[in-house]
Amino acid sequence: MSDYILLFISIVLVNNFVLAKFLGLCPFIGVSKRISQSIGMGAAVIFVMTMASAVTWVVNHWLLAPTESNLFFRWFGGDVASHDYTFLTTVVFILVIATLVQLVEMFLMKVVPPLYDALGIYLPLITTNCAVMGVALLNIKDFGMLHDPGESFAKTVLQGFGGGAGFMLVILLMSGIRERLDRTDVPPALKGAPIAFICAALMALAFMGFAGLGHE
Amino acid sequence: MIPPRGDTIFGFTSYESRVTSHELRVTSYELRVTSHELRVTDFMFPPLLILGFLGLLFGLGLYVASRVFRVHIDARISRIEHALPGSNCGACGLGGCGALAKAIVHGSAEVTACIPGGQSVADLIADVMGVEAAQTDKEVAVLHCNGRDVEDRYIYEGVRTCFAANLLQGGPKLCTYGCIGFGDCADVCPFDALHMVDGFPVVDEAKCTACGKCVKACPKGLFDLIPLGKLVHVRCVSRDKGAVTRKACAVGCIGCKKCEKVCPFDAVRIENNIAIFDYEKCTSCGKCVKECPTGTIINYRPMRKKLGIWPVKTVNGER
Repeated sequence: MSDYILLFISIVLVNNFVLAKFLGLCPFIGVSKRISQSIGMGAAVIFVMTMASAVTWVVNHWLLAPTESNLFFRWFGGDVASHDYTFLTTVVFILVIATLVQLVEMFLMKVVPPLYDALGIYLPLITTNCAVMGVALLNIKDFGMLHDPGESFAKTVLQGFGGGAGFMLVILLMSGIRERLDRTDVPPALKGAPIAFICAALMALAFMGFAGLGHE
Repeated sequence: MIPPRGDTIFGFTSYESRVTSHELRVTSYELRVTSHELRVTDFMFPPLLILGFLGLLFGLGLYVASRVFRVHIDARISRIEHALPGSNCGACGLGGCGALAKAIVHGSAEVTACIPGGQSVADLIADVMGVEAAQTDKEVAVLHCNGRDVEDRYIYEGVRTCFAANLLQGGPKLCTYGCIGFGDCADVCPFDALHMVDGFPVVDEAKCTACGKCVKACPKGLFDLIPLGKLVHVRCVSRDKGAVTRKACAVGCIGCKKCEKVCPFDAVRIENNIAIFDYEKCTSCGKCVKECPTGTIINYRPMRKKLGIWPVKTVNGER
């Protein structure tokens, strides 16, 4: 159990996707102007990351990875190592993520139109969001070779959810800072994106402090 | 049984050593394989199957989802959106031009709801909706303060916005009701119709579309949207007693009630030491302007005539 808690804390704080791995920076800067919008974006990313992790794990486990449970190994037999289709990982994962985002978009348009309008261009951008692709690839790298499929799947989904939660935490903090920045006296040359970048850098610096969590 | 193999390129495998019955030429690789030893996995088969299967599955899934989550979009919405100015100013009280277009089609907003668009846009929208547009009254933003020369109570050194200054005991001016003068209103005006002249906002009524952004931006609530045909306005909102107002500002309303008495239409009344107009009754006759001892009530007639925005010209020559 402590394994899972540590994994969650690690992906949210220590190995945060935005501030430690520098993935998903486009929506992080683009949608962090208002708290209400960033909540929506965070929720969308959590949803897409969790779903993408689960689906990519299934695809990887049954179709791509050279393991005993590979369907092609089961149907056609032969050498396990010869059924290695991991060279398809990138294209298959993009297919999965793009489909998921389309699904989320349709769902939002029908059920929460204000959120759909607020997210605007950034929702389709999740399709090509490197954080989502990153979490899927990272899952395979970290847990793809675990012997127990149940444990592997659980950790994969947890890492996906934690990655999204970390993104939401950071984008929420950022939007809080930027709402306040609107009301402060910023030198004209730094107004807008430049001061946001500076704040993001300072936040990343602060988050590096979490790297010490693992050591006694 | 696994046959001996030669080079493998993405599943293409050459079996040059086992050529027996008939030969098969495949693409430019010049591979020759024996038909009886052909295995499904040799022909890029799994990758094709993986991508084909996933593509088909996701495609069908999205098809089903698009059926389930279908949103019916009325064609009139986009036509009305085209007719609207598209500046998303929010004067209609809705989130933007898109929201207004939806509201008009659903019947929750009038075809004349777009204030900056005026009569021409209302006519276009009425055309789309198949109704007749009523005549709209063009409005302009009127600043209810004329205190250009109000002294400061303290030296303010904070952020140079009215919003921030207002948080500090209602701003640095001696009159806490009047204009602070940092120009939040001029900053938000999307039509370049509000300018700060010597630290005091001046409305360019020829450009003003009555979008209402300044009304929302002013922390003192000094702006009002009033029909262009109304020409006489009180340029003060101070609810201080006459003596206090006079000390701070030479042109503030002291609540002397002279206007109330002289008005033949019962359109002015003094409430909380300030003259308030009932624009429904006011005919802009200008009697109160002559009577006002502080010059607080101002007649806009000459200024609007000079700008050529009043009297309003209509096609039929009415009004």
